Amino acid sequence: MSTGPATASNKSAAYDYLIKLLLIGDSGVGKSCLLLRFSEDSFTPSFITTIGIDFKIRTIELEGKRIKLQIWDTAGQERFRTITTAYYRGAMGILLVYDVTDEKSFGNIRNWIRNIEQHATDSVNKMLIGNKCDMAEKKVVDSARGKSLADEYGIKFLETSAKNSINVEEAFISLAKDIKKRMIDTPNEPPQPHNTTNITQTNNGKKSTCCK
Amino acid sequence: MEEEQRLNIKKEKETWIDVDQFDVVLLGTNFIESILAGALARAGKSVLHLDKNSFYGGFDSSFTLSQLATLLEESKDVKDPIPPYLSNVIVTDNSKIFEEEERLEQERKDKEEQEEQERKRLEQEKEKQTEQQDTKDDETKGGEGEESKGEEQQQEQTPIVKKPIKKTLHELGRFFSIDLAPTLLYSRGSMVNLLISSSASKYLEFKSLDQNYLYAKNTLYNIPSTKGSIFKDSTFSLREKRLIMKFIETIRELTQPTENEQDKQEQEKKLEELNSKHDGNFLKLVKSFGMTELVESFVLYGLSLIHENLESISLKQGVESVQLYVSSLLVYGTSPFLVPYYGCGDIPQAFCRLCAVYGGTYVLQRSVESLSFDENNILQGIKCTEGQPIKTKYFIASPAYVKTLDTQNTYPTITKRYSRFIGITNKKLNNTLEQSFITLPPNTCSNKNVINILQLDSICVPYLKGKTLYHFTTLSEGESTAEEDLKSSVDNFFANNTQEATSTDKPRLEWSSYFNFTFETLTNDIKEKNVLNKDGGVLVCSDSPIGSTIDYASQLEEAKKLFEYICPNEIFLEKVPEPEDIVWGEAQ
Repeated sequence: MSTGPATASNKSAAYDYLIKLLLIGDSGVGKSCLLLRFSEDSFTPSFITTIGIDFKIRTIELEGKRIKLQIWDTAGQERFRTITTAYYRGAMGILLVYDVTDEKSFGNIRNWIRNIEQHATDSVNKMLIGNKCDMAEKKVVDSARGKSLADEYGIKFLETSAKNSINVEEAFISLAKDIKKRMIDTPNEPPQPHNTTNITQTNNGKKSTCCK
Repeated sequence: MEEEQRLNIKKEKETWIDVDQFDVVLLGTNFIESILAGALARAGKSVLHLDKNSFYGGFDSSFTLSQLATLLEESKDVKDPIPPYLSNVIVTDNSKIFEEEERLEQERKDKEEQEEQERKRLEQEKEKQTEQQDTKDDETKGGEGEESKGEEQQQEQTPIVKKPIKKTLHELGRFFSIDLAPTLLYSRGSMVNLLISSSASKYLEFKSLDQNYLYAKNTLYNIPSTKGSIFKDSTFSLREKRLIMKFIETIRELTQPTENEQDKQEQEKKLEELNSKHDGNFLKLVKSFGMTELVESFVLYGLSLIHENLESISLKQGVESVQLYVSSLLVYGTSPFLVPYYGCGDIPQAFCRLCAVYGGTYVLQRSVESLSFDENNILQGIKCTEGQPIKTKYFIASPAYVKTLDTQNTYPTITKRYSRFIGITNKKLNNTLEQSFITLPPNTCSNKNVINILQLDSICVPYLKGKTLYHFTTLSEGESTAEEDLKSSVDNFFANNTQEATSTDKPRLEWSSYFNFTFETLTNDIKEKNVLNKDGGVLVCSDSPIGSTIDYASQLEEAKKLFEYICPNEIFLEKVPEPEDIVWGEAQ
């Protein structure tokens, strides 16, 4: 793993495809911890509400292609169910996270799915994640229930531990693979080049499309 | 279980938030409040941001078709409305009629096709039979087999073609992002500059508008975007073209950024000269060029987009407006304008997200019940609609809210009213580019004030292919309704029924609405002094982004002033470090 700021040149040259992922789920289920584990391989045990995490980047290689994963966190707006509709725009994959030691967070998954159906595109890839699987003695949602809920929606399911680094890589990479398959390998619905204008650059006339 | 849940909910409601003290509480997630919230959180203030609605942005939000229809319907019943509010609402939904017409037409076509095929089949069979008759005469064997083979082929040739089911307008409705108060952004305007400098632009996607038009003498004129295209244009005579160039050159000389002190002084001197020559009036400056009526319209309404009170615009303001237009050309596209891809409502959301990333707390569907002051009339805190008291130094909201909560002080405002029309048609206007902006100078369609038309065609493709969204906006004076202000211009461009659409080749209105939009802004005087009760901790901000100009310059100014009052020595929306600047993971 390399650290430190990347230069401007490898910022743009370092990938073939950009995939936008979202984390969604109740407060305290470990969304930010999963993100930090995956993007920086670190873990903060204390309960931190999300401050300052907007999104994180990690570039992975899949079947010879460099895929830049841009993973967005909820910025605490999940707490009062006030995630902006703009958060969902352009999302290609969503990790729906609950806490295996918190029944309520599991129950709320259905509400989150309803939210996604309302605001995200119909074809977005979803995955159900039961986090904190290291806390076996406190577990109240068994794996079978997680699996059966995922089956009901026809989505993949994994139990993870951001703390012990169990299945975190697998979760993100499996979702990325599914998206690559859907959007890049078999583009029945080709990545829609809706020709939006990227104004992050201050230079003139640069245009970008959503899926590079 | 259920009982337990109920108790939990009750408990949550009583102390729904564990923090009972914030630096700033904002009520309403409109444009100004949202920018301000983002800036305050970015500067380290603790922010609680509430909205009584269940969605972000208030009337600055973008709506799906059904949300908009509900909003319009509900606003019909409001008695004694408080700004911002909608009035004189008329909704016409012809989509079902057209869809039924289309269905019948399709059925008729299908039937015709079927009959045609049946006729062909019979004809062919008849031919075959004659042929076979002939062959039978020639040969004595093999005729039977051939005939049955022929029939099989026939059956294969006419499979039932399944036509894709065309989605109805209302099924497509959720893909629309319709603004109550649409605004264009100049590519080099203050809003775009701020989005870049604060890096809030990462939350937004934009579309560059394709073309800017002026409608005059029953014709749509392209407003050229380059010197070359001005000279290629056949609209104007060579003399007129030279006048336009001379005008632009004058503006350029006055506004060209320069580091050289001498040049700067010269510019100022020149501006002063012009100022005294034309009484500091922009209109007089334009008139001094001796242009023809069309060229004058072109310069006044096409290149400067200050469309209200043109007579009283200062020379400096007008010059800056033209300069902004010219400098915004060819930045992201040929036209100088950008529109947020999913509607202007994403802009307040972008700043709310920024606020949340810096620790701001967001609660929707929650309002403020009362404010509490100490004996010196200094704000102590607020009480939410759920009853929980929260301490805060500052409370910020739009005039209507503040007036009901703080009755001890007076907050004078100006009420402004706009006439709006929103229409969805089956196609764009002939000879126009997809995303276009059209300006109608006064008296072109019996209109008193300038009408701005925004055409958004098939935006958010591919879902909305074949649907075009139109916005008409004009300042409304006196008691006239939106329909009175806009109907003749709407009828000028669109057809109301299929018959008219076929005979005139105009786009057909499938869904449309007229309404008036009334809101409150602070008087310039008060904006200047900030707000009346600022020392007490209550700050007021204007309602809505519709203004006398395109872009959001005045709203930004207002947000900035409020920010500077609360955080005197802080940077307004300092750039957020890019997460992309730190790339941790590398390919394995």
